[in-house]
Amino acid sequence: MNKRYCKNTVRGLRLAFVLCGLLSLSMMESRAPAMGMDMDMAPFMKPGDLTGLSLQELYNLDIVQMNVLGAHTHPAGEFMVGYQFMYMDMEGIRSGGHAISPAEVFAQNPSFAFAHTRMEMEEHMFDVMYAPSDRLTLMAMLSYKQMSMVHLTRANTTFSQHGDGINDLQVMGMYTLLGDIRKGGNRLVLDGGMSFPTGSIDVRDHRLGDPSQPLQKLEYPMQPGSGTYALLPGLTYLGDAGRWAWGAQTIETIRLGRNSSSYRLGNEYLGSAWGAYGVCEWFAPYMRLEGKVWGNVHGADPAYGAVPATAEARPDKQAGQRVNALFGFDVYVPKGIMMGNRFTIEGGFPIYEHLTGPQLGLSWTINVGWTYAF
Amino acid sequence: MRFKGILWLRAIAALLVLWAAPGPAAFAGTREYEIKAAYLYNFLNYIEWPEQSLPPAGSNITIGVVGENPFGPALDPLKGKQVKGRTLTVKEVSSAEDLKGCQILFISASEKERLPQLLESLKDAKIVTVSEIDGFAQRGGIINFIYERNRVRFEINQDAARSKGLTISSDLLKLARVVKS
Ligand SMILES: [Cu+2]
Repeated sequence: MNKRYCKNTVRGLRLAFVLCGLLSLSMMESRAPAMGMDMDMAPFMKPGDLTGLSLQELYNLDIVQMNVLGAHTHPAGEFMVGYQFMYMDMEGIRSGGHAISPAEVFAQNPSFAFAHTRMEMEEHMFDVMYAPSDRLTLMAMLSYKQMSMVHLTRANTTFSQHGDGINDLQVMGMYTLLGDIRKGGNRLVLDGGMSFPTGSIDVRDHRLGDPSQPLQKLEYPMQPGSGTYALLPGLTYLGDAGRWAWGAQTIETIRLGRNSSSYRLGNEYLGSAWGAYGVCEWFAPYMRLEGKVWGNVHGADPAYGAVPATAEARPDKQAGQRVNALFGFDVYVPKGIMMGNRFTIEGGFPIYEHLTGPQLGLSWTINVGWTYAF
Repeated sequence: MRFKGILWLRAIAALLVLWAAPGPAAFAGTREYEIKAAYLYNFLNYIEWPEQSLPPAGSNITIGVVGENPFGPALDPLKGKQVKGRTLTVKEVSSAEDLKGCQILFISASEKERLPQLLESLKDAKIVTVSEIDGFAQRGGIINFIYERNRVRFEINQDAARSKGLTISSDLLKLARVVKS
């Protein structure tokens, strides 16, 4: 087992635990009696009963609740800052709709010197949102990505390489076409954005993962940036009634031109649908399905040579389709020192995967989000 | 991963969880009115009525709603609670006599047109009038709910409360936007 992997995984899980710990601490703190009322009853309140909350807590309670990682808009004048940690563990090689072994990869592709057996990706995403009006919400997102990939050689030895860097900056506007955020109910939101090539496409690591070897450009999936501008059109539907909230969203990434390494990543088509149920004022579990279709690389980076040594460096072996089932919950802190903070934790795995491989399939993913609106 | 090859098992697990999720609740109240209802309940604890104006201890204390009731079921959790040694009742009121039997009277936005007459008729009653009509507190009402950046907040006309002999606690005033007639 590779040490760096252990470290990454442990770090990710530790972060999730710290967040959970903070959350439970703040819940405990908030259960102290306040204003002479029996606050111990608060967590057991019936849906719709806010009488256990103190005046101060009601004063700071959001009317519109954000429920699910993904789409939401804000009421006029509201700012939001957020942080999301995303972890993806990719293990096992797949080609088409089924798993294949590294031996099969080597047998079918005489030109490959290496097969990838595992990839981990950690992404730290920061976002800022602001609503100049009830209809329009603006958003900017930038993330920092860390990736590591385990390679298997034909001689059956392994090594790993690592890459990290900031991702492409995304700026987006969300305009409510139908419905009203203050009233809730059904809403249709038109999304339009732009992705800027702020991320690097020239991340390198030592050949064979050996510090004595020269640096070598890492493959397409290991580059944090795309190197090109992209249009981000989309459409979001949001609905809620009583304790239920649901929605669906599609966002497309239409990449433009060619980057400085003479290629353009494939377009991405993302679709997501979810349903959440508010058990009480601060806790809403949800289920989300997320589908993604992405294309092959157009052009080719000459750095990988005319006959690339791995599938990950082949422009024609990048495309895929995947549907993830994700389960999560949203926690809003209505009182105590953490009041007004919102935490979302979701984890999931693919229920459908079809890759133009050989490519690594997804094992599981976890997302931990924090937002604060003011 | 070990169970990588059995995607269909995961799909079934996902469907099972979906199926086990609770069915739609027969609950249709909106959160905004749940918050307002909880405020009304809290107001009872932060306002002092002259003792002789309250019904005798052990009887009822009443929150009335006049006009189209926007709360739906949001006021239901308040019913039967013990406040100031009395049992809280909530009712929709319309007759002048019923109106005067309330300690807190919520005046619906549907009564906007007849607000001057309504406030005039309650001038001497020891009733905390609450509404959500623009300028309600400036026009002589006592508490008016306002919308502020995704939160429900309120204005208080302290002079109007004082003239009725009602004492509003400083904790309540601290959160309010204090306005004058
Ligand atoms: Cu936001």
